[in-house]
Amino acid sequence: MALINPKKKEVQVKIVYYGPGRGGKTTNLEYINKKFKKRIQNEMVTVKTYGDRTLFFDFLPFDIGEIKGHSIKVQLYTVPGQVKYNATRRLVLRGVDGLVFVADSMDLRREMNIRSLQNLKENLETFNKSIFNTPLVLQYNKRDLEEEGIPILSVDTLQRDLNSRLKAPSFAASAVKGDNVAATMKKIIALTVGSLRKKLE
Amino acid sequence: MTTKDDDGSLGAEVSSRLDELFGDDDDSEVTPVSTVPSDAVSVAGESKRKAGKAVKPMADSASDNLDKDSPIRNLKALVFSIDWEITDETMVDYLVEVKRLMKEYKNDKILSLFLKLHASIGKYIKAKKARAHPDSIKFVASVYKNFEKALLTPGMKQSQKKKLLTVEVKKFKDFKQRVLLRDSTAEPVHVVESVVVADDQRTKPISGEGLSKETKEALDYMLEQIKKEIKAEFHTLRQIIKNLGA
Amino acid sequence: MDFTIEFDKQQIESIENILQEELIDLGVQSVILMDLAGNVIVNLENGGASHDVYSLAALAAGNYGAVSAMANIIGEQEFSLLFHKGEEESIHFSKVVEDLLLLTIFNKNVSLGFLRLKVAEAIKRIQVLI
Repeated sequence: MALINPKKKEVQVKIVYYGPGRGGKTTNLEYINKKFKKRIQNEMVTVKTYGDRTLFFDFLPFDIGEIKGHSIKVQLYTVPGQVKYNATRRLVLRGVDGLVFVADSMDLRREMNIRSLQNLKENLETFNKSIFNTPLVLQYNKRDLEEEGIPILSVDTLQRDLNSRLKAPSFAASAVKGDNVAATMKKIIALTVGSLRKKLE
Repeated sequence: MTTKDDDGSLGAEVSSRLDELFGDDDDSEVTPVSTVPSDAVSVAGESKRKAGKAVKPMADSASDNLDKDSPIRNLKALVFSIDWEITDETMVDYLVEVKRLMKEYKNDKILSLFLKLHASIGKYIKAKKARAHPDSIKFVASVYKNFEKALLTPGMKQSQKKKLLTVEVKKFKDFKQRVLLRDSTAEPVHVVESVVVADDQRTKPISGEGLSKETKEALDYMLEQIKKEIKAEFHTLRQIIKNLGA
Repeated sequence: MDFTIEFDKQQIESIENILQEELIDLGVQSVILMDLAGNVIVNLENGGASHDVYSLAALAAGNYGAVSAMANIIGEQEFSLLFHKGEEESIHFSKVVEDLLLLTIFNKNVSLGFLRLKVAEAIKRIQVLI
């Protein structure tokens, strides 16, 4: 839940990047951190294994300045995607305000995407949250693989699999190249801050 | 791409701010993202990092160079224990152990006096707990350290032991001064019960702090007793040395 | 849906005063009152070296959450001491109420035992305000 400090007039907003393992969640944050280094001016915190997979979470905080009299601090998190880290994913989801679901466009990841989204829904429910009324953006990542001849799912297929009920904003992206990474982030921040308008007034 | 409608002015303000900060036509270099970020803070699996402790140190695991059979092994463990946790239980155990050692060393005046210092500071901490002066805990460690030295250093002369004791007595005296100074100029503890004080007046202690006078008296008394005993014993020692020389 | 306590300005100021009196004045480097989502509610420092409070809070929430889950697995409700000892500086965690943590960063001039007493005292006073 967004924390509002009435004394400092500051709002802290937690956005979690969720999705199957090796789908590109960390890559999203790394890209944002590198591309907007000057604006962000914070170190990215990352707890990962020697195999370079997120073990606990990645964390990237930054300010977006004052809006409606409140200073907005955005905190981007990723979760570890591997199935065995479900307890950790639940921890990181605590207090989430906005979500980015990073789906892996690779053909052979189709099932993993669906399961991961289902997992997100269930984990939210343990906090009495619903995926249907939490700000959410879908990102269909790894579109660049098509150029390398690797079979990827069509956006239509991904939409049908993942977005037919949610009807959330979605972006076709390539986190490695940076395509639509910033756009995804901007959209989720806008949606999340928008959802807090009652509290900011 | 499907879109949900945003709220009017807030949404517009947020969107335009985000575009300013993270604009599309940002010409700053877009380097390919490496898979290993250079500013990674921590990596799992490093076992060299010191782990937090969730257990109180037990007597036989206390890091020390004391013999298993050392008579002050328990006291040392209790001193370490106080460093980790201050409760009635730890303080009672500490005082009981000090009392036991006082019986054991009753014929050694210097060691007895060391132990009396242990007892005094122990009683103070037990009585005051969170309100104790922070230096009291440091004093526990320091008086124990010199006590251990005096007891266990092979071939240490009485004069050297006396010196160590004098150091601790002085520290205790200074400590007492600091306690008195703090208690007499202390701001009332609870904000809700604050008392307005004129600049040229000392802060009146609130009723709960009336204990400080008793503590002051107790400390005064103990210090006087210790001083008397030290004087008497050194006088006796001097006589003995004189007689030996005669 | 919302579980974090909402504070008003007066409460925040009172909490700041308590933490200043009980802990900062003791010589503690830094005190953070935070929630388990990793949000910082109150942050006080003694004027010495400044830390990245937001990253610390995010990690602390994760750390505390992970350790709590471990406690449950071994049949404990919670651990009574969560403390990381460094050569120069150490970190102590304490639960205030269900979703609030008090994080204390202190150096070797402050004994853990005494700190724990002061933290308990501070928490007692804060609980009255919530």
